[in-house]
Amino acid sequence: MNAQNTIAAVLTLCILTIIWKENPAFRIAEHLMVGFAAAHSMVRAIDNYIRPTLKTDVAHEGDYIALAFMLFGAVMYFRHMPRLSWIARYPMCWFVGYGVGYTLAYGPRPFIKQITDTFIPFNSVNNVIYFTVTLITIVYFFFTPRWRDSSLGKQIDRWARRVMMMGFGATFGNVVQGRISLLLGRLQFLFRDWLGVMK
Amino acid sequence: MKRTIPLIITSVTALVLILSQATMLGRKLEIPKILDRYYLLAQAGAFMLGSIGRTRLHLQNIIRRREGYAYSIVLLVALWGFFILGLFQTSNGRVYQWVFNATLPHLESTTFAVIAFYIASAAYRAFRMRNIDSSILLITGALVILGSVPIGEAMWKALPSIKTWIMNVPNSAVQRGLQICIRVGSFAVALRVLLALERAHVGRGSD
Amino acid sequence: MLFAAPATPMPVLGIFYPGETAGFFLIFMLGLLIYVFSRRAGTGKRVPSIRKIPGLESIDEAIGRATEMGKAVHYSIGIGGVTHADTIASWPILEYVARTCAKYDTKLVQTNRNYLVYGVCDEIIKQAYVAVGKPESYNPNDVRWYSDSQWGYSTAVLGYMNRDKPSTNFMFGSFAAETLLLAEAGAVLGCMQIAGTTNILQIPFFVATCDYTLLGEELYAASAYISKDPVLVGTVVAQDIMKMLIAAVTLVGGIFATFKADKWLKNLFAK
Repeated sequence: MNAQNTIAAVLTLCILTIIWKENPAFRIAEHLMVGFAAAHSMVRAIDNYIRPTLKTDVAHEGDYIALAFMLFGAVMYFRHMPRLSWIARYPMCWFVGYGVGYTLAYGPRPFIKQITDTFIPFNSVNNVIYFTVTLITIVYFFFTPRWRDSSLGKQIDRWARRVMMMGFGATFGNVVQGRISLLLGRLQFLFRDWLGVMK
Repeated sequence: MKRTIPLIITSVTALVLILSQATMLGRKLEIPKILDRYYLLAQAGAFMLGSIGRTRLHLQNIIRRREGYAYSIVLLVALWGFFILGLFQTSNGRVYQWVFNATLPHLESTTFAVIAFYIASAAYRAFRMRNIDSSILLITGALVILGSVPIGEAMWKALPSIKTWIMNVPNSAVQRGLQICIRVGSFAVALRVLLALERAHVGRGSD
Repeated sequence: MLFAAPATPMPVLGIFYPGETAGFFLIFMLGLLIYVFSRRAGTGKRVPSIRKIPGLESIDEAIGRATEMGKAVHYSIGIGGVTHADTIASWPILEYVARTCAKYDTKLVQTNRNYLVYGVCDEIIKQAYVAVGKPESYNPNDVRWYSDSQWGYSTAVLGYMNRDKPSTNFMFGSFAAETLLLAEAGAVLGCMQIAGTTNILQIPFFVATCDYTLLGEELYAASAYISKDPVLVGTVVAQDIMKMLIAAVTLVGGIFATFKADKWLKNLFAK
């Protein structure tokens, strides 16, 4: 039982109290967590990007474009000035453009692989079931064809939802075990590492 | 102008990234790598954006003595105190590491662990056989859980095989179908933004 | 041989990097379809309607509930950044929710994990209040960033919901393991909850805890559905056509695979 483990154990117990109800102990732990996490992300930004860029890229190699992009990102701070907040749209739209380009540039290749992986031979019952379920699921997400409102469309909807519920139930069951093991990990820390009553 | 130029910036940036990733010339000039790096640097330049907003809110709480302002003091001391420590020591500093190891990993993993309790309450509420859809969800979930644990196999030897079949055939097929549709949808959303058909991020007012 | 520089790959069709051609043409084709159908809709030609999506139909009801009860609407955009399509797809929904809340003077608290997304959401909500003619009602303190940490964000939202007890909880965007934490907290508090994400591992938890859940791609059709803008609905028609083509290709690929003759097709797509 050392000071570091004691602080960690007390904060652990404070967070666990939310299971009972919201209370001052949880609220303190919550505010500490937000404060520390926010600070840590700022420190990481400085350590991993700002400091190395200024020290090496700008000071030694004269890469002023790197500095320019950092300052361009800093223009986002105009968001906090009511009359000048429109200036922040420029870097914001650059970030959105990068995000959109990222999806369209890096997304297609793995997607094409997914399509070709669906070229399965119809030589077994399992494969036929697999293909049929995949097809029904895709058809469920046709939003606009006119036959969607017909009785055929409603039948497809019904069976597609049932098949998807099967998939969701399987995912739910699969994930449950992982979450239980996390709780066991925390209990191990409290009883073994902090209190030392468990080996 | 206040909206038109930003929209042009969005479209041009996206197009440059798409074309440079897909073409020999773009790859030869390493444009995707350069853009990735500048994105991370620009993002780092705005690193205080959220913290300024947080600080403003909590300072107002303290100045106006709103309910719970003591917690605002806790947050601001933690935020700026830890930040100043990290500024002087860096994230590898001895004291910084000590404080970090005593707090954040434990707070975060405990929050994750709380989910175990919430799973029980969610399952109790959701897994009542209200209709055929929820019945299928319940039965499949139960089969998968029981098929994964030794007691399930002890109850019925076929359970692990049933679980494996469920995961490999219907579950996998549903995931494949969903993924295909999701990808097409994500490309469509991105193209709508690129073609400026979607402009929520700049608002719809006049310039 | 051991120290030879890697050979420059041979371009496909003279300009494309190997492995990127099929993907580029897929994006180009989809872009062309979107352009054509949005233009058709823009010139007044009839556009089919989108089938009913219950979750989106209920947004007004959910906001109305909050207005009547005098409580807040909470909107979580998830933990994704601006590179996530889910986050981008959530912005039009947020704009609609913000406008409706502004119109009925209902408090809207919007929470974020990524600070760039926080900046965008702040702009969207501010512009929504301006568009409705109530710029003085916009409160920047109601658009919140709760740290870059997934669990810091979740804990803070958990705390906020337990203290303020909003009557409506919207969760549209990119979510991961914190899904159940946020959704179950809202369910226990009796919130009306509508959620949408494309993370397949998290959809079951939304289905189990929320009143309405948008499944997968329904989130991406939301902006067209909510706005009923014929131009945007035209883009959804383009999406459907692309999916039909892909379904047809997988059927053809399956037939060829049955006769063990699909290698040429796979090679074509791998270019």
